[in-house]
Amino acid sequence: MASGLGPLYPNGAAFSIRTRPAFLQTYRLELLCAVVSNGAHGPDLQGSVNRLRRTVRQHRSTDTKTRLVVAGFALLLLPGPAQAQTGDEPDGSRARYVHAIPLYPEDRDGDKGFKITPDQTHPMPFSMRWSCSNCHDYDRIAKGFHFNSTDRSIRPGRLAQPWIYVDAGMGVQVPLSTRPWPQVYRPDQFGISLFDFVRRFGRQMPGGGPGETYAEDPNDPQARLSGRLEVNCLACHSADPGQDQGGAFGYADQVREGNFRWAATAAAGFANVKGSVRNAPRTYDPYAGPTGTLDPNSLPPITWYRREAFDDHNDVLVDLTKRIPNERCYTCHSNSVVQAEADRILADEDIHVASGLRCVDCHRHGIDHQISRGYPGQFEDPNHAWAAGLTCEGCHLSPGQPPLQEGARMGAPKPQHKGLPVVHFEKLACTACHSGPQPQDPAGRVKTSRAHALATTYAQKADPALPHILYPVFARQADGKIAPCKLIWPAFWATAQDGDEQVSPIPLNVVAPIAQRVLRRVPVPATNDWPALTDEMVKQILTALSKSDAVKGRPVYLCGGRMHRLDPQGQLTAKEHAAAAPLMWVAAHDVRPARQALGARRCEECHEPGSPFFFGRVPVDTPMVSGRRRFRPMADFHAIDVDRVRVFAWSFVFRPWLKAIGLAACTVLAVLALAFSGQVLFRVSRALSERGRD
Amino acid sequence: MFREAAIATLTITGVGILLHALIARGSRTPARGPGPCPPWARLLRGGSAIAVLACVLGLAVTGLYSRLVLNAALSGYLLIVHVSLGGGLAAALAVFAVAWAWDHGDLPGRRVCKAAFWLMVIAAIPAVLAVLLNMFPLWGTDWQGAVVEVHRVSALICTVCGAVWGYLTARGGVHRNGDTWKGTQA
Repeated sequence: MASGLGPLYPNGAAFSIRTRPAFLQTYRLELLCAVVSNGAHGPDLQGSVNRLRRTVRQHRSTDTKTRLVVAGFALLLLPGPAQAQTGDEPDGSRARYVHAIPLYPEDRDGDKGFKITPDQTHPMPFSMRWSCSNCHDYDRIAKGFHFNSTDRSIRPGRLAQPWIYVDAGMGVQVPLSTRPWPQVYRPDQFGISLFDFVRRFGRQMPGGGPGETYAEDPNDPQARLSGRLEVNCLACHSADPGQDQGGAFGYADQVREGNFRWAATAAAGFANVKGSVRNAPRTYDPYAGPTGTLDPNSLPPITWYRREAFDDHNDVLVDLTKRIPNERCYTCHSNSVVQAEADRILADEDIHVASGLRCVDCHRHGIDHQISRGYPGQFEDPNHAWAAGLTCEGCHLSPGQPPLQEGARMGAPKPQHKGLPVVHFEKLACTACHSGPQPQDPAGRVKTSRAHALATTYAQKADPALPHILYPVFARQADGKIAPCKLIWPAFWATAQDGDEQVSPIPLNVVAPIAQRVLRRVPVPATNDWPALTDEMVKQILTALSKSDAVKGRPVYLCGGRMHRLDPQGQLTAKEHAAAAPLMWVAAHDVRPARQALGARRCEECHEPGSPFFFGRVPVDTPMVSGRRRFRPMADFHAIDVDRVRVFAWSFVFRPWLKAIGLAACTVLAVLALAFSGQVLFRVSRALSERGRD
Repeated sequence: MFREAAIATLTITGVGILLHALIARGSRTPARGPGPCPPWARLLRGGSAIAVLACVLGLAVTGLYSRLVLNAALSGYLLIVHVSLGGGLAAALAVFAVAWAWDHGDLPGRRVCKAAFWLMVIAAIPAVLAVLLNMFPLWGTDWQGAVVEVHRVSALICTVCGAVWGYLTARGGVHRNGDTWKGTQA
């Protein structure tokens, strides 16, 4: 390239005003190509025209010819009939479409950059938006359930597992989400910025949502440096075995480093990324690339592509599939029940998976990516009425509406439920008997991908690692049915107002220095379990917080279902409080085979004194030593009269006697009735015979 | 549909008994004196009859209250009481049937009373069997529902017949048109 163009062309997004004429010529050629290839509407044309407009604005003297060219093409952008993207209109074929496609980065202005080629010196990471949107409506897909957590215009739906912020050193374990779910807090309520929220939890975010929302301010220096965490189509749709979401330098590591712009590229099997934005100054321009001598131990993010990944058109074969492998889902949606190794070895996968189904066989969606979550009533609009066929009843029973046939979808057996009174279907969800681990007393624990960073380089492998998620806890849902849930006991520092009715979290950066001062002598166990927090320590922290100017209101500590505060004499008191109540969300996996369902062997699995289902105990999880070894009865979560359940359970002790007496009585009655009938028949016969003789 | 039919049946039965009690007030058939049966037998007969009628009454109240008043499935303490009384009824009914079957044998007279007795005995068999067999893994949900309907209908018949038999027996006992028991004195 001519020196007048500078080193900027290789990364395709920057330019020099001094080289304006030649640069404008290139833009005109690009405009022409865009019009020919995309027609009058399309992102290529729009991006190109935007770039041309900016170039014209920066050109100090009027270039009439260029202005006319811009005006002419701008007229082509007048609103026309909306058209679906080519790839979003299925042709009905089940064959896989081969994606040998050009890759494009995002330029410094947020538009489409120049095509990535293997001869570029410092290539930028490819942008999912600009690489996929030739054929797919990125903005429409970005409204899908996985990506729309920050969209206030949509219903959040049933509560699912939130992100759980844990800091054992501060005694904090709190549910966070950008969805407006009840009992779940927003990151900003704890003083966590969206960027930090994404950096912490983006390891298992598919992109979009907060990853793009945090960067809405174009002048934000962090956004300019880290870029957007775009919707990562490859996180789900890649069939490449080299797709690395959690390995070293993979997606999770990149996000943790703040390399949002590079994360999807690093995970792709045909590219690599090294370095971190944390090694770069705030003024670093990733589009300019690194200059000068580089310290290999302190690199800014650098991307390079495998040359052999490009064909002779400089397109890349991206191995994509609609039939997403389960391993893609498991990256974010794995459960690991805390149990002995022998039990872990014997633990089977979900029966649906063992039978050959994929996650996406039940969890489907259209191009809108509004994925069916498998519970009735998820959608209210008629466009998603098909989701009713993808619930437990929809596959196994059929709601009787066309075009669904009688059960047996995808080979689903029709349940017989022999010997099970129908009242159970009114009081229990299907998952109560069929899903999750068998009920235990006390309730067991489970680790999950998103809570414990499983499948990443910093997974919490120890069994006691925080957060402590209890499972299964059988609780009554809004529809009145009992279902198995996962449960955590929140623990956090807050202020209480209005007679302790209103509770507001205290930002973590306010609590941290005070808590660390008090708790520095109490080490956090290597297993990342709770430290031993004593009442005296809590009292000291609350006293220090009450003297802090940053804390408005009376400081309290919520944990283990209780609110701890200082009374007027400065002594620590505790009482039950709704803000410290456990958070539960319904869990539906892993589904067990029919013969392992609750009650499949005998009714007494649930209906006997001491059965874990009714009479189990749920441990109260708390960092405070004084509050440990407490339990909450499982019946509390059922919202039932436990005494009545106990009496009913005791009645099952006498059930065999009831059966024997009943059958014996029926035998006696039947014999008597037969004898009477015999007498009557004998009389009739005698009467007929006498008449005959007469 | 069962709810409406049960309400209608019980209403008709109640009104019929009431009307009969009012209309037939002066024409009560004199009760037969105590027979030659020993005291323990009289105790057994009387006790079993009272037990059966009490159980039928209790079962009717607990069972029909849920369905007719609450329009919900039987559950909770009502279910516990209902199942317990069901076991008691089964045992008492067996004794009652043996103790009273002869009095309701093939001898003429009191046809309504005899019919009520035997209908109650015969209807009790499916009423008890239906519930007992549902406790075994014999059939699935579809048949479970049908068997529960059998229990409801036969239990309703039991209730009606029990009410009629109890009323008629209380009015005049078993009458044999002057016949005496074999080997006994009138």
